[in-house]
Amino acid sequence: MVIDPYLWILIIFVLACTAVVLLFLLAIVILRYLSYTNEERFRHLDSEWENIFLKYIAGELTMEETIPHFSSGVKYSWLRRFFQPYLETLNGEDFERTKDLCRETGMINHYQRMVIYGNAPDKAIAARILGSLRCRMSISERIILLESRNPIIVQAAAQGLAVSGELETFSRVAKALLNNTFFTYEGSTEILAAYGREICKPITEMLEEVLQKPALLENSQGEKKPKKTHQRNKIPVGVYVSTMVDLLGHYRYSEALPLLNDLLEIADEEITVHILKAFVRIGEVPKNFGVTPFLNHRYWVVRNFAAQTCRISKDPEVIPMLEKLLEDRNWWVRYHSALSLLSFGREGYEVLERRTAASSGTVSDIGSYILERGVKT
Amino acid sequence: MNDRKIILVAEENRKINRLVSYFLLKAGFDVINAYDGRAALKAVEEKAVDAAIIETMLPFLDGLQVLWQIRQSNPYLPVLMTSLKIREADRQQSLELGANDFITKPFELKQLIESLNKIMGEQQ
Repeated sequence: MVIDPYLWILIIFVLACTAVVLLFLLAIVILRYLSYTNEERFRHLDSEWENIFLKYIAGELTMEETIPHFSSGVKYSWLRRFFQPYLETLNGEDFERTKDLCRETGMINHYQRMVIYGNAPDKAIAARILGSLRCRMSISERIILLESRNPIIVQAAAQGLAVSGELETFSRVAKALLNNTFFTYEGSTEILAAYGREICKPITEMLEEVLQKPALLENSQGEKKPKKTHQRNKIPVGVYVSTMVDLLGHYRYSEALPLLNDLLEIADEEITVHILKAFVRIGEVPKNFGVTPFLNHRYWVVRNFAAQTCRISKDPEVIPMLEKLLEDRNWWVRYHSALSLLSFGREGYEVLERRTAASSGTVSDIGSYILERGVKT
Repeated sequence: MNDRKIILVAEENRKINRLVSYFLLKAGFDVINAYDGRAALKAVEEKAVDAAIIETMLPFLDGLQVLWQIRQSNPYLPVLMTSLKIREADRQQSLELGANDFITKPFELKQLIESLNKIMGEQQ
């Protein structure tokens, strides 16, 4: 029997494809197995290292007795995974001893080289761990990473610098986060807050400079955060100021209240929102804070936060204005006005109850909602 | 009779939990470990805990809720709350809810033990 040559070609083709698929599957199985054994090896070492490390930190073992366990043929990525939680939790002498151990293993040198010579993902990893190590020696290299066009590298560098608490890098990190990444105000604040409460004093000094030069804010009135990164050579001053105000609110920095009150005089809508939000978070309003213009503001977000500040100031003169805001076209304004009325005790409660009974539609809805929930303010 | 005081350590990160526990044991305490809020609450309800160190960020039930629940049944239990330094709101809320003290991460272990001894001494 003679087999058609084309059939032979087909048979060979099918066998070749099958072989390729099988080799591919075999490669996956081998890689998975290697990854599994690698991870098992790390888990075993991690457990062993933990016992040694606890004794070392407690002073029961010297460096000379400890270092052999961390040195022979281990991967720096494993050391990084092991030490990172301790570096981010410990302070003072405990932190210094941990850092000394990292140095003796060669880990610090390795990541200092990586932050300069590594590829993009390696640089991001190195920037992060060097931040946890509070490593001053590589600060300039990590600052350079803030100019990267890769937002992930910028984020890692920013986080590393913030965690290390190097206050002199704050301004550059803030500008890089706002200009070179897609982070929102809240996201940027979250990262910048890692600098610690110590950042509040430099921030108030920066804002005092802005107050001395109100033209800076006039030039950026209404400008929003750029939608694309690297869209501008510098971020609008207003965006920068808003982020700084958010940080003061985050840290409940009541010492900045008079300054924030002065800033309200020259702030645009965006900055006003952030300042009022800061008052709410701080839980205090400045002594001569006049809430009336903000309760009547054209922008609902301003009215919303202004209504919230009434719960703090507890000035009974605002009750009629809050009553009027029960008819506001925005739900959040109505909601917070109703809550603020309740915070005035019997007087506010009676106003809310009266308006709920006498009205229909949105006033009745929000009044009933708040009264039924019995929301505590 | 065992005179060692029993401390609850409620911290999600097992390494940090064991680190703190190690130092508490060396300082002469006995330790109960909890890695989430529900386990922490259960430990306080079922065992004779003399003080608690609670991280605010716990899974299932966060540390602040655990603190609030503890205060309903045991207003005198010394409680030391811990959190990351960026979580400033947790500090204020913890103290408002009745925590005896608050320590931010990063901390020194010696400082943690001193704070614990201080709040236990004050409670006595």
